[in-house]
Amino acid sequence: MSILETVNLHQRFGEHVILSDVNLKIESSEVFVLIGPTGAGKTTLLRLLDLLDRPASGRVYFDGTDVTVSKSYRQTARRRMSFVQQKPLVFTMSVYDNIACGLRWRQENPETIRQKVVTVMQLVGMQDYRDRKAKTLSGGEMQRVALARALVTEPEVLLLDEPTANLDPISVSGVEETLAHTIAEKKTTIVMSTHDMAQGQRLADRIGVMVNGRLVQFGTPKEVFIAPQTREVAEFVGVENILPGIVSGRDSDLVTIDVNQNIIESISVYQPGEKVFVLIRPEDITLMLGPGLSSARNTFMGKIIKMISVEPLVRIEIDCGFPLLVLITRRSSEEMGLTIGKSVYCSLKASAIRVIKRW
Amino acid sequence: MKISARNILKGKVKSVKPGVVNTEVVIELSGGEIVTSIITKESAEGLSLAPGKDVYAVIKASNVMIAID
Repeated sequence: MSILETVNLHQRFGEHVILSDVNLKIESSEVFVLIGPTGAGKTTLLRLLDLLDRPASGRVYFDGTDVTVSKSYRQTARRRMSFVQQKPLVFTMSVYDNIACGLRWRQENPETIRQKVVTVMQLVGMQDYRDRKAKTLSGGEMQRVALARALVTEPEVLLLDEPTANLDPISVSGVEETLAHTIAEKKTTIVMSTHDMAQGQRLADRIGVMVNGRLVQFGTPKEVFIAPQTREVAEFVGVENILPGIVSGRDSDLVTIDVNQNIIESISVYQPGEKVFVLIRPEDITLMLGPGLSSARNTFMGKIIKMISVEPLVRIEIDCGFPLLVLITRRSSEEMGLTIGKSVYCSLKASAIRVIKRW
Repeated sequence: MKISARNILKGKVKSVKPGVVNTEVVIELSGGEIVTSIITKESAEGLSLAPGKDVYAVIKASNVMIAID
């Protein structure tokens, strides 16, 4: 049975629709990461999952119980969850008291509180800040206190809204280490939103992509990043070459696609005449100075129009009759003597190209 | 020919196994290591790949995974 489930969940503020028809099942001990651009509805969904807000329509089930029907069900469920918000909330008291307050509300005995708070302060690396006023901490430190306060109650479900947004890289890795430890040791169910795709890949068992209030794709990080199903998801997961085309031929599973009167070969299910987008990752393209003879089905001649160094790589924009962004190492670029205006051949395998339907 | 791929490994085709769409080509490198490639059937036929033929396995640095025991 899923620990959390939503059925046809909708949310609106006035006339403005924020969430549409969200159907989601989260299993116990799963790490589920919501990714999507700002304003996609990630925070709204997390607030509904934490039962802070009521949905316009639809149901939320916690551990099999419909918690939308009764206040007492909601209160019981909320005690089994913790929510860390994007802007960390700390109270005007010491770090120790901030972390201890959830246990005091639950009327745990003082010795148990002391042991749990000390353990969790060490886990988040705040043991030296025990008596500091929490309001005087930096953003990263406050976030660690908020995380500690959520973890100390040993929730079954931990909800996190962009927990590392606006933090410096050292604080980000500290928060991620704490989460990795919680995942490994406590088997806590985690539902987390982030706009950092790499973070999603590092932590998630499963990813859900939100665009304009809808969950548009689910899957393992590999499935979502390798095989985006829509243009929006492709853009969000960093596919930088998205070319509109029309399937022009088919031989078994090998299709030819007309992109601006250039033929691209790929392996796909689409039929001649169908409108498609061709998705190509810049790192899958190899550059050559001559046409060469290789097994790659696609070789396009083009002219370099832009080069940007992103050590240790170079991003190269090439006009092949359609724009193509290519990523190669700086060393290769130097050895080949690549410069703006130079003609090159872009080569890529048919299997490196993903084709999705264009409506 | 100058090519941007960082890894160009010379070897000989050991076996060619055609499927419906793709063909599996096994390449034996000079040190005896094996590299397996999946290419389209058309490409394998276009390059006239057959056991014993000299070929290069070309692998971009970004496609190389690293594992440890």
